[in-house]
Amino acid sequence: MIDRLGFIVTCLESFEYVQITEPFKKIQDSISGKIIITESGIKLEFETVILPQYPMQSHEVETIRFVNSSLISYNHVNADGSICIHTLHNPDLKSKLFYDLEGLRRWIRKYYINKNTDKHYEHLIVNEGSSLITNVSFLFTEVNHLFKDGEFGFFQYSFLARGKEGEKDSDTFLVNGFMLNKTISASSWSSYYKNRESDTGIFLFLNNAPVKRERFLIENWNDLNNIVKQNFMSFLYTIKKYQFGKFLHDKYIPLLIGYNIPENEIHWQCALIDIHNFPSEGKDLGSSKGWIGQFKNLQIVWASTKNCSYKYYFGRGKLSDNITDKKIIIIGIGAIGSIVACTLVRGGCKSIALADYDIKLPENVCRSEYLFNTGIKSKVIDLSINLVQISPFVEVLPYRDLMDAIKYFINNRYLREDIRRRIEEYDLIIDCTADNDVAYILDLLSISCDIISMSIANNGKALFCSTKPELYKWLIAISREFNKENDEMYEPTGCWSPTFRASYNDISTLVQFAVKHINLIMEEGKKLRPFKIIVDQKEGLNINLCQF
Amino acid sequence: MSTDINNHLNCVLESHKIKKEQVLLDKHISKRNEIKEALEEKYGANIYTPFNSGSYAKNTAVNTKFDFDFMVPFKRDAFDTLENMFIDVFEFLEDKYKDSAIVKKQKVSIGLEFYPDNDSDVVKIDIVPGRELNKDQYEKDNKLNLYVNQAFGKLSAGSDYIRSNIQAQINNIKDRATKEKDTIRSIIRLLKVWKINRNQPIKSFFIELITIKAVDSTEISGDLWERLKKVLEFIRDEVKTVALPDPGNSSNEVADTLTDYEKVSLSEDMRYLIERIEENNDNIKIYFPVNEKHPCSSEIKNENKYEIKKEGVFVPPTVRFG
Repeated sequence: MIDRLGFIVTCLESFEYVQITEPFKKIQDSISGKIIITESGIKLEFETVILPQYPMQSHEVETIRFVNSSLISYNHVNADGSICIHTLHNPDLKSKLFYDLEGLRRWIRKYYINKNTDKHYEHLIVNEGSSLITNVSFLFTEVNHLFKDGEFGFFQYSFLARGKEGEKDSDTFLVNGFMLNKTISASSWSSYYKNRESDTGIFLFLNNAPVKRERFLIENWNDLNNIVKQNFMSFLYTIKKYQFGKFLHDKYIPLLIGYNIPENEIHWQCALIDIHNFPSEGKDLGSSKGWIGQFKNLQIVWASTKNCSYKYYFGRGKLSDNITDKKIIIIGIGAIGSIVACTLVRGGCKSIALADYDIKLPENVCRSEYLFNTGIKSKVIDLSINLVQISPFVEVLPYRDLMDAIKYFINNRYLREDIRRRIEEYDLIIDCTADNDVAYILDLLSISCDIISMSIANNGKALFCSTKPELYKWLIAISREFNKENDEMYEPTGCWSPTFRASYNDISTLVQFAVKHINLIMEEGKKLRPFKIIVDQKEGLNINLCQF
Repeated sequence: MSTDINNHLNCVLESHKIKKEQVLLDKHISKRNEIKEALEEKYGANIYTPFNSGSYAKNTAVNTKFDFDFMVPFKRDAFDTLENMFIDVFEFLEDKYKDSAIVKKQKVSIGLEFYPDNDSDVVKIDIVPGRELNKDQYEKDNKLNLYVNQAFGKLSAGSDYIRSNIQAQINNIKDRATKEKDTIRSIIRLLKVWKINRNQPIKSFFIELITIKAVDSTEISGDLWERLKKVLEFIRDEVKTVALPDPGNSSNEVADTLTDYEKVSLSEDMRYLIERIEENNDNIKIYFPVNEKHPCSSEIKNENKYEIKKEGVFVPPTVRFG
């Protein structure tokens, strides 16, 4: 029986455009050798390494490497000179080898011969600080400022969290804003993040990225000598001399270096200045010509940076702008309201107010978005924290007494108008209280903004939404369909209102369905009308939406 | 037991009859007469005889949202401009009724909403001033120019007045509604019940014209529900493109009183309404409710001398959770 090494060699020899130039051999568990690929009259040699997992992928990366470090300046070549190819899954070794070699030939045609560039921007290759004891990452977002070439100054950053990458600790920091002409141009994080205690770093903006071989970020401080101006070197000298502020991990000053990338965006990289081994120094020009600042011949320690702006944070999927740009208030944040709130925030909503008088108890956790470990707590405070933990772009306002105050004053004709005006500050009201008084009041106030009143019935097998106009009438009309006798009630011990039995899965399935429907209606700019969602379990699971 | 749709619709029509609110009707007539006399006294030879122009005059009224439209035709020389006419009538009515009613400028009318009387009844009358086109022409052609209050937006053509023959509008609808009582009149009144109950932003005049258009365009037969359904289907299918010329002036397009968005919404209202009723007869009650104040004899179950609003009748049953 032919062994794996022999089989691979036989396969390679069967492809006429492949020539083995260094015999393949087994090194530990991998198989490696050299091949020349002929494509469109071009011959390129690659050191080829086939890992033990092949033809399977490892961490979504192919387990065959075609390496030629002289190709490093071409697109889609990794820092180690390996060509970046992605081919389809195939469990058959020979087939997979064929497709991977075809992928390599495609790369030669597209990027080596035709020198194509892709539409989407490919970030620079950064040799991030493997020398760091604890990894450092900076998350940045947009600021309302147009940076100019050579602009420099201080920026503010705050510690977000310590995590782990493998065995190594990993600290994440947020770029909170840039100090420009004695004012701060704040990052577009929500106030919860923007207002955190911050430390100071320095920034430098360059029109063009500091690169070597086109796609690789410089690795030595002295590579900056021909790029930065002396006014920045003087600034650095001041920093070096006075060493004020608190240092990152007690030894680093972060230097953000920004540059333009396509689509009017900027990207920031972060070099860590070691205060014990400062990378710049003064150089005497002699003959009384004075001093200039220059960078030393010293390896740069790059921290990791991530563009975490709204566009990228929600780049993989979000709700319609017609919802996310709305100022929303959710009244009632029990099972339904908390799921609605989290769904909206994960969908990119930017302004959410929460109104509920209630406290979260342990028994609320099983079918809502609350967590056990925060203990007994006011629901609006507890959920507000959950929401800002989900999105750094949402402003959350908790109101514990809002509905109490509204009910207290609603019968006062003079104050009613004030209440109406206050509620009309919102674009969308989502009433999840299942409190008929609330629906009645919202209707009574003739509020101009959109209102949705959402409730669950039939043991979590139905959800219905009432909307304007005639919110309260619709509520009466639709809820008449549901029979109280059908509900199996859960009676907690003590004097307490019984509640319905339904799991998180029952409720969240319907709430997600409802939010999806509402999103679609708003995206299409249609009129939101009352609807019900009914679960039919007679023949398998069917969920039906009926609009009124 | 499933609702008998036709019995229910007949009950809806019965419970919404104007005569069920005879006392309120009499109060409206009395107040209207008072206003008529006051206007005739104020403007003397400058006006022709004012007349009812709303749904009461057209025989298509329902009793749940009750008001009178009262047309006041002025002679050509009474005012230099339509705006002056509108302002003068407004100022006269405001001066006369400021202590007993809310007097406000509306799009083409002056709204009078009298404060509730001892029975908590509210009389609402809209006064619509209009001016003949040329001197002494009104008696020959019944045509009037109405001022359009700019605060409520210009007409689509950008004009600040509407020219129409209000008498022709009334007669056209009244004649058809009276002659075709079981189709046109019943269906218009049912659609008005739906409109009022669901607070829809559609003019009654639009409903009247599109119902007549549906009756003239399709074969309407069968029981009341079948006839109503045909009209609902017509609206669903045609409202986005239908032309509804004003019988008083064919160059006025009444269909334009709804925006494209409102037409699409109305079409979908009809679509879902039909679907839900076909799916479950009981849903007819959602869209076409009986006037609970005047239930039909078959629906009166228990005497309730305290008029307590019971659960399941006026308030939502406790079947929902949040």
